[in-house]
Amino acid sequence: MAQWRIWNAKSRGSLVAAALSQAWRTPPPPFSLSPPELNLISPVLLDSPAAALVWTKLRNATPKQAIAERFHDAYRVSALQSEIRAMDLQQVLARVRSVNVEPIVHKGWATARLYPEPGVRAYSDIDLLIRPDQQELAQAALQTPPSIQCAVDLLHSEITQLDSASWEALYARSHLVKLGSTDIRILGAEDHLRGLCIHCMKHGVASPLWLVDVAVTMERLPANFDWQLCVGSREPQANWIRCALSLAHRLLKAEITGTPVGEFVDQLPGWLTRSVLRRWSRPPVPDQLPRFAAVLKGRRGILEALAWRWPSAGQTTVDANARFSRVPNIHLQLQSFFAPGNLKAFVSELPMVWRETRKRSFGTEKSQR
Amino acid sequence: MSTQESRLPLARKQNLIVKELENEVMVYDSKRNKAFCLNQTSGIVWKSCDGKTTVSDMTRALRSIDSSVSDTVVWFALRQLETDGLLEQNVSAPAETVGLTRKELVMKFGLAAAMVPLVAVLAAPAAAKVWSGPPPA
Repeated sequence: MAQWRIWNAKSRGSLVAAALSQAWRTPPPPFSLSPPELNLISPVLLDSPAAALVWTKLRNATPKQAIAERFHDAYRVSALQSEIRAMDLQQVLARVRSVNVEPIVHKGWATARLYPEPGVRAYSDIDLLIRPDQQELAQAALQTPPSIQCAVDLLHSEITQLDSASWEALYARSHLVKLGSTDIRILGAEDHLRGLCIHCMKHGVASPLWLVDVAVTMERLPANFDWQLCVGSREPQANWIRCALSLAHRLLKAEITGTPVGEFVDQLPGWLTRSVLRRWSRPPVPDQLPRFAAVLKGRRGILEALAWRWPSAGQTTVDANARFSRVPNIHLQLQSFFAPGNLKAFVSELPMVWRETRKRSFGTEKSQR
Repeated sequence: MSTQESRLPLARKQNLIVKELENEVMVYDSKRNKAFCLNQTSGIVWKSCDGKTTVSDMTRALRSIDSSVSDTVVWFALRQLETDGLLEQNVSAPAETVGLTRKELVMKFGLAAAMVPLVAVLAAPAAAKVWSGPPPA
């Protein structure tokens, strides 16, 4: 790839997509990136939970690339992490069931089990769907000593606020699967895929692994899968789901033969695809954003700080309950960026930014004398 | 039971989570928050540490993979496992195995590099960053 293209964010994002494309297959396709291309995107991939999945393609690549061993380590850690989380999950379920609450396991393990090697799909917390009137009871049970060693997330707005299905409907369609000797209740296939799609779009497809989840789930559907139930007709949710499915095909080459996704793909807005690729070209946003003044290390620091703070196109669209159309939603992003809360935080940092700038200019003048 | 039999190597089980991968064994020590990767040789030795299997038995098992394996190799693995806290009790290794290095195992004993026992320390999964939450607003 020509040097100027490598430095283009969209191209770097395309390299990330190529590294993960069809990595869930058995066997996965050959690894297609050259050593310089892999070296370019490895900081992004190694800093994400997708590194283990990349190893499934890299391990068969010849000749072996020097950096491959770091992906191998990520794979090892991910496999161990999965084993640990599986034990945590059994403990959490026992705890919640001890107070007669029956949870539905969402995302995490419920998705990892669909991968050919569940160990490649790492997850750090356990996502549970709880009947609304039992939330507090479940929370109390989880907080009772002895403490649970992993994070348990009971809040899922992609289901409770953004989806149209009621708890009763979700529960009626859920079913039990085995983890060792433990019964695990998971969502029906249609609800699971729908939830993954909405979750993905809600966060602007910030993590490539979330889109891989959509792709893997799409390729593991039961024979009697009801697409109408999955996608539904309620807008704009149906639009979000179609976009997520289309992105999984367009970027990760998820198989769509025999599905209605082929009808949606041509309607996928180009700006959305480019926005996702640009997002994938950067490392994950830090949990704690450093103060603006702290990253004033020249133009690059300012641009980086702005990029971190700039709202994602996908996220602002879902937050505004809008559809993804061919017209980019820049107005929504501007609205979000200049929201009163953000402006207030930015204005409060201005004195520090000013002091920092002055310090740097004085420092420059002193060194020039 | 003789003193020698009672001191047969025994793998630790408490507070350990084990995951077997192709030709490797991952072990997470939840008590010390440490993770280890045992290569094929170390993995076979560790899994054989049941308190009943002698070093000679372990050597015979490894010789089915590489005929150049000797008791020295097994003792080397046991010392590594002991150092990393993966055995229940200390092993009484022969004096000639003390201070032995991986390079010496290859050069002096003609062992293939891939068969040299290795217990590598990994970043503990609890400390490893697995980002699954939403990006900050």
